[in-house]
Amino acid sequence: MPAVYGLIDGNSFYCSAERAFAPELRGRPVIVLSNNDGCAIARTREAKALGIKMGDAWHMIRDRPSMRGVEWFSSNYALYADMSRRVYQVLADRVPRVEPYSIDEFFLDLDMPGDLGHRCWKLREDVLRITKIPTCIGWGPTKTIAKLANGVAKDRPEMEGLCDLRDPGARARLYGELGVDEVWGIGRQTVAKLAALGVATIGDFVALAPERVRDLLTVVGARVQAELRGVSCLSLSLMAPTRKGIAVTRSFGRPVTGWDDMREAVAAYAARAGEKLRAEGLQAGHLTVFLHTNPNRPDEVWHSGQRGARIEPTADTRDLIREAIRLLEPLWRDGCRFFKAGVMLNDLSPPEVQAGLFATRSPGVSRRVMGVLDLVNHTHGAGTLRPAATGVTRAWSTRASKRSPRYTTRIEEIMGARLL
Amino acid sequence: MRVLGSTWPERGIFAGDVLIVDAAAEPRNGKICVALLLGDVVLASLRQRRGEWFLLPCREGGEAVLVDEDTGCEIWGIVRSLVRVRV
Repeated sequence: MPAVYGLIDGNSFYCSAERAFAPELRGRPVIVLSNNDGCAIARTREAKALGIKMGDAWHMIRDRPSMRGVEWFSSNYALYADMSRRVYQVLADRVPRVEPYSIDEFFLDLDMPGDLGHRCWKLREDVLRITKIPTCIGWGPTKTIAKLANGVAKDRPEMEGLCDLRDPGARARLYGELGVDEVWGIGRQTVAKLAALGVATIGDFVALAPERVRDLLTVVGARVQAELRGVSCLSLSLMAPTRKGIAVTRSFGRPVTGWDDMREAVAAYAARAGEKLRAEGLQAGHLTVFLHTNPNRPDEVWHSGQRGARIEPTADTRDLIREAIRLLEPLWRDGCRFFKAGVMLNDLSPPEVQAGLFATRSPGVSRRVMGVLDLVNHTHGAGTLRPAATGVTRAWSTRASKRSPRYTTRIEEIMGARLL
Repeated sequence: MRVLGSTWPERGIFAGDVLIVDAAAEPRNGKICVALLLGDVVLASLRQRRGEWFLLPCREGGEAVLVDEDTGCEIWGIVRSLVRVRV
């Protein structure tokens, strides 16, 4: 078990990824919008200063005079995922072990000789120089403390992106200042329970008797408290957790009112879910389809429906589309303006070598056909080869009206430079 | 990195070429680098003088630019190699 855990995360990660290849965006307010150009999901410091909140609907605020200089982007996950991989690569070359926690956060094993403060400073510099992503690093004796330190490094500019909470004295001072809601794993309900006991700061929480914490918040809360006291309970897990389910759900670019469009959209989601499934080498034994109209439009007819069914385990896109459409048909209502639909796959398992007794499909043929499909789409770009059921024009498809170039994954879209 | 606009025959760089740029490489005298200059992305060769780095323009008679936060100039990466599809 490492003696020191670190947490490094990218500052306004999606915005920083946009800035990495567009230097003219430096120092300017930038926001990235969620799928379908809905809400702000990433904001630079300058955008936060203009009062843009996380989750603000862009179409509601874009006409305000203060928003004139704001640069906005549709989300470009191809870019963000690749930038995340690059950050990981830089980290993995420099510290003993790295555990990705989210697209922009990585736990680090910092059990290294030498001056750790200097090493973290250097790590941050290297990540910035190589990937162009600015970061913050926090570190301490447990993961929970590292996460807390990271938050402090981010919130307090005077710390210059680094926060060391190895020293119990430094922690004790900070614990008195910070609210218990700042702690990783302490949710709103827990905060309410603790407030009833007069616990407001982390210091108050750490001072509670462990038995009392266990009674109140179960073993999970007791573990958080122990971690805050510097007793490591959560180690680095280098194995990715196995997936429980795969979901592909999207809001439509504009309301879907025709059955043909809906059928195409759901077929396309099923096809995408199949790709994800095969990328993980799994097959699905349960499939769910859902759709609904816009919950924020009380003036329109509301309809929502969901159907799931056990299916013969498969990873074949053609089977998934067939099953999805079969489940979708009874959910359809004429005259409704549908806003969102999705396909979810569950009961995931590695394919059995031996065909089941009642198998109706031919796994060998399926594997070969899907292998070719995935290979073509991998070498020639996603969507090169696709089932006709998923549509050609795709009138329903998600809005991404201002996606930046895929600078790092498409040769036609790489950055350009002029001679000085 | 794609070369836009004009060519730099002395260094064998033509418009439309794809440059392989290494952001992890250390700057070195005479290397071609990609630099950011007041929001523009430019190609220039590097020159070190008295511990400071300068960008030398490709064209004869151009002014050297000091690499410095204050001049809005920074090295983005070092050009390692070149790919040309058309001949």
